[in-house]
Amino acid sequence: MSSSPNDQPFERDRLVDKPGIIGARWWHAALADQDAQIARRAAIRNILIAGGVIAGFGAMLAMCAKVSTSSSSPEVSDARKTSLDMQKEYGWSFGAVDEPLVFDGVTTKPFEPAALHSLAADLAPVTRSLVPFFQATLFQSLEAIPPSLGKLDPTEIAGFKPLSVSMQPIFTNKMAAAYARGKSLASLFASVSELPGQTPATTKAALIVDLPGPEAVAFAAGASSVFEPVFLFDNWPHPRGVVHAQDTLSAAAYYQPLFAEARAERARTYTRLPMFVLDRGRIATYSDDATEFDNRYVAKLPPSAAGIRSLGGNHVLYVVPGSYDAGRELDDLNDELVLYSAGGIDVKSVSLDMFGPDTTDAGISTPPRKPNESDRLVEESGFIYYGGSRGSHHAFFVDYPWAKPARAATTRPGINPGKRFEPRARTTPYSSGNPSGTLATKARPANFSTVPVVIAVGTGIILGSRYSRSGSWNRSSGGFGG
Amino acid sequence: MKHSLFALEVAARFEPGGRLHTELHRLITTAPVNAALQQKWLFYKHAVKELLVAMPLFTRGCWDYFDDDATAKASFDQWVAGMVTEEGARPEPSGADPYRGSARYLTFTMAFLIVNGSPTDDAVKELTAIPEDRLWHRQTFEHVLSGLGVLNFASIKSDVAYLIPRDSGWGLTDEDLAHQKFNYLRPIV
Repeated sequence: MSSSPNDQPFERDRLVDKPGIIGARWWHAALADQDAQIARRAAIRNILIAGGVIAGFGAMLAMCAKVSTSSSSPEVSDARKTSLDMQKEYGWSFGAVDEPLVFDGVTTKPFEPAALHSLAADLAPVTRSLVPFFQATLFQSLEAIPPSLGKLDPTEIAGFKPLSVSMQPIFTNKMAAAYARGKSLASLFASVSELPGQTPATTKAALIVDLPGPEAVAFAAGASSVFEPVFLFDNWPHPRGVVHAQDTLSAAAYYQPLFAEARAERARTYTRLPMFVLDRGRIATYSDDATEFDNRYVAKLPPSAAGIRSLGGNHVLYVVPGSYDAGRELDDLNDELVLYSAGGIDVKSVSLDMFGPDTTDAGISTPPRKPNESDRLVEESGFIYYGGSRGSHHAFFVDYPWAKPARAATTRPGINPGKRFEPRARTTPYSSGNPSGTLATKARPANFSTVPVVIAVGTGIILGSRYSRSGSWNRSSGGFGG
Repeated sequence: MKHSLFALEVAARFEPGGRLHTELHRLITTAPVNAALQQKWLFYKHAVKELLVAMPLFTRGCWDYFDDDATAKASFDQWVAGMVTEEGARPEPSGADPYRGSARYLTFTMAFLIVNGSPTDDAVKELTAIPEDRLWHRQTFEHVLSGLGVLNFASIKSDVAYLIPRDSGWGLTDEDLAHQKFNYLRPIV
């Protein structure tokens, strides 16, 4: 007779069975889930980081002070280290080695783990001037071997597996929609070639794609025949990561064959327009050291208007999810976009919801007599149009006058706040509010992208993450009790 | 959700093949990986029953109750770490013939992370409201153990139970228990 999880809510998650000791720990799954949602452990963080002595409130009736005076445990202290450095040194799952990665939108598509080793190479830019901006960080996480893993406490190491083993392919409806809109936008820039002596490069446009990670990757895949993606994913996944980089990485793996093909094509033919690709979750809200891992990062765009111009751009198009996002860039882009604008770069935005199918288009099934690349891209997009109608598609270069429209627009799109977007300087935790010249440093909040660690005082050796579930230092560092 | 903690550990004379070690060992080895609330309750009912029978063998012990959330969780982590790191266990055998040498001891530990403010928490708080001068009395341990039937596992988020040693030749010695790391175990009077 089988029982449902509701019938057997306790799950054993720890078992020790050795000659000297035998025992187990169980978790009440439903209560643990409920607690994770409430995320009340910020209180622990604040108390422990502040120095550790907990006393004087609540009932403390017996207080064994278990092993707080143990001489076999090293005296330890707390410190904060850069999250990515710790992951590179001690493993991607630092402090959560036995916790699973959760993927959003797992698909049954055949997956070739063997191809992952070439992911960074397949997604790298071809154009030499773009290479310095490419951040291979995320793609390099898959097969990274942490050199100092063996220095950690043994309980921190047990169960460690390379990230590639934990990867699963994902594909979501939102990725499909973003891919189609990437194709549709690419079709507009490809259409410029219909004008005598013109190419997409004539527009002198650069894209900054700022969408949720998997959708950013999908959009880039859709647009990659006209634009050259420069991925700026500068973090690693983590089981408790506040940025779900695993979804972004998995989406990249999903589109890897397409990117590899587009890259090979670029190497053979003309230079594409630059397309900087960002994960919009990169500066997500982070609040709790105990339940979250701070794998956030800031975008590293060209730091000046001259930098954009050197890449062939006089215009920047900032691509965002919805029209409500089109009026303001994320905080960590403010300084750069303000600098671009002050330097004479025309910065505008466009949202994906400005693109849609034309449900009244009776001509969908009637291909043009001589379809060119632009027509092919529209067809591959599933007939997704700027402004949501076939008649408004070519109004794009009316709203963004960076090229002459190749074809006439018979209607105009509805309200598009992006075409009137102008970056305005703002003071935020991620922006100075007064940028000038070339941006040398980027503002960041205190403790941004760091992780609390435990250090053995005597040796200076990092023992592990402060909030690992398995660290033995938890026994000796509290100092509370009688 | 806030938490409270209840934990109890005792050290008792270890008689290889004796009932206490045999039964506690059997309980742990047969405990299900996935357990119903009633199975958890029965597990500890049986463990407590054996402990109560063996009360005269207890030499040291300690118990904790905290209803401050941060303290409770940190303390629970410590009790769990005591198992995971095997800190209290011997790294090598102590010898298989305790009858011709010095005494051997076992320890049994159980700890519960309880939903703060739940009826179970209230009951445990009441159960452990012991005057300070009687905290480490044998009668107090008997009182606390006898009252653990109040545990309702619907309000317990996590529990840990472990026995040192597993094998008869690995019992703790007087020297082991004299080590500073066992200072938290108070002599039971």
